[in-house]
Amino acid sequence: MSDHKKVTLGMLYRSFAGVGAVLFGGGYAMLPLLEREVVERRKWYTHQEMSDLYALAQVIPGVIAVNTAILVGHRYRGAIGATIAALGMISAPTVVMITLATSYATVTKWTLFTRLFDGLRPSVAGLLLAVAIRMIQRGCKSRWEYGIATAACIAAAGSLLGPLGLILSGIAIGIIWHLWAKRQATKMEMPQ
Amino acid sequence: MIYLQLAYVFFKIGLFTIGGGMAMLPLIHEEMTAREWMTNDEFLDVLAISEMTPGPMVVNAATFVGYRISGIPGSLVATLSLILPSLLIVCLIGALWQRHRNDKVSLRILSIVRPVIAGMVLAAATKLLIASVFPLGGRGIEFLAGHTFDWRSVAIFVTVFIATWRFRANPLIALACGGAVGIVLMG
Repeated sequence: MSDHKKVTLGMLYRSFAGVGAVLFGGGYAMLPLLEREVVERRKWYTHQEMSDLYALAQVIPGVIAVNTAILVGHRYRGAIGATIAALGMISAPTVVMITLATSYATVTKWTLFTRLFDGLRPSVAGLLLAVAIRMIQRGCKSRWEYGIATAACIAAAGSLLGPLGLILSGIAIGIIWHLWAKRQATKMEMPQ
Repeated sequence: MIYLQLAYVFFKIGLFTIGGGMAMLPLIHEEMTAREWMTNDEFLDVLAISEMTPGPMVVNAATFVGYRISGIPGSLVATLSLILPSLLIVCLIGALWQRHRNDKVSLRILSIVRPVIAGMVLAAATKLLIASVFPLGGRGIEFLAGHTFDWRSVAIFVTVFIATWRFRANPLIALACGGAVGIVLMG
C-alpha cells in the first residue's frame, strides 16, 4: 500500500481531466490512458491493482470512467479527493457538450469528425489489444486462469453475458472456491 | 421546480446504471422521451455525438439535456446529480474495501476476476477491430452482406499495436497519429 504518498488534489484533478479529455468511445477505451497516467506516470497503482480497480468500478452503480476516478481519489484523499477526481473526469466532456448543444445538428454531418473517428477506432483497438495481452500475461499464472480468461473472452465476444454479469459470475465462483477451500481445510484438521 | 426534477431523474439514472451506460440505454431513452426532454431523433443524435466527442455517453446525455432545459446551470445540475450516487456509495464502502482487500476471500475472488477482466478486454479489442476493419456500407472492397473490407483500418491498427506493444509508445500520441491518419486517408 502506498497511501502515504503525497498525492495532492491538484494532481488528482489534472490526471483525470487529462484522461477525460481524450476518452473516446466507451469505458474500455479508457484503459490504455489510465494505465499510462495512473500506473506508469504517477505510480499510484500497480498494474494488478488497476485491474482490480477496473473490476470494482464496474460493479458500483454509475458511469465506469467516473467510478474509476472516484475510487482513486477516495483512496488517496477521501471524500474530497473522490469529488475532485470525478469533477476532473467530467470537465472536458461537459465543456465540449455544452459547446455542441447549441449547434449539434450541424456537427453530426461534419465529415471531418467522422473521418477522425474512423481513424481513432482502429487505433483504440490496437491500444486495447496491447492492454489485453499485458493483462492476460499478468493475471494468468496457471492453466486454470488461462481457461477462465478464454471462457470470459468467448462469453463477452458472443454477448452471452454483459460485463456486469461476467464480473458477478467471477465473484460468485471466487466465493464458492473460498467456501470449498475452507471446508477442505477444516476436514484436514479433524481427527479420524 | 425544473432543477429538482433534473436532479431527481439523473440521480436515479446514476443509481441504476450498473455495468456501463450502454446497458442502461433503454432506461435513459424512456426517461428522456416520456418527459419530452428529448425526441427520439435527438436521442440518436446525442448517441452519435457521444461517439465523436470525449466522455461517457451518459455524462454527455446529462449535459445535453440539462442545457436544453435550462442552460448552463441546468447542465451542471444534471451532470453533478448523475455522479452523486457513485460518490456517496464509494465513500460508504471505500473504507470497507481498503480494510478487507487483503482477506483470503478477497484475494481468491480477485484471482478469478482478474482473468475474467483480461478476457473481457480481449473480446472488446477484437469486437472493435472487426467493426473498424469490416464497416457496414463502407467504401472499400465489398465483402459480405454489405460489409466492406477496409485496409486503411488494418494498417492503422497494426501500426498502433506494434508501436504500443513493442516500443511502449505513449497512447495519447498513438491516438493523435491514428486520428490524423484517419482525417487524411478516410474519406
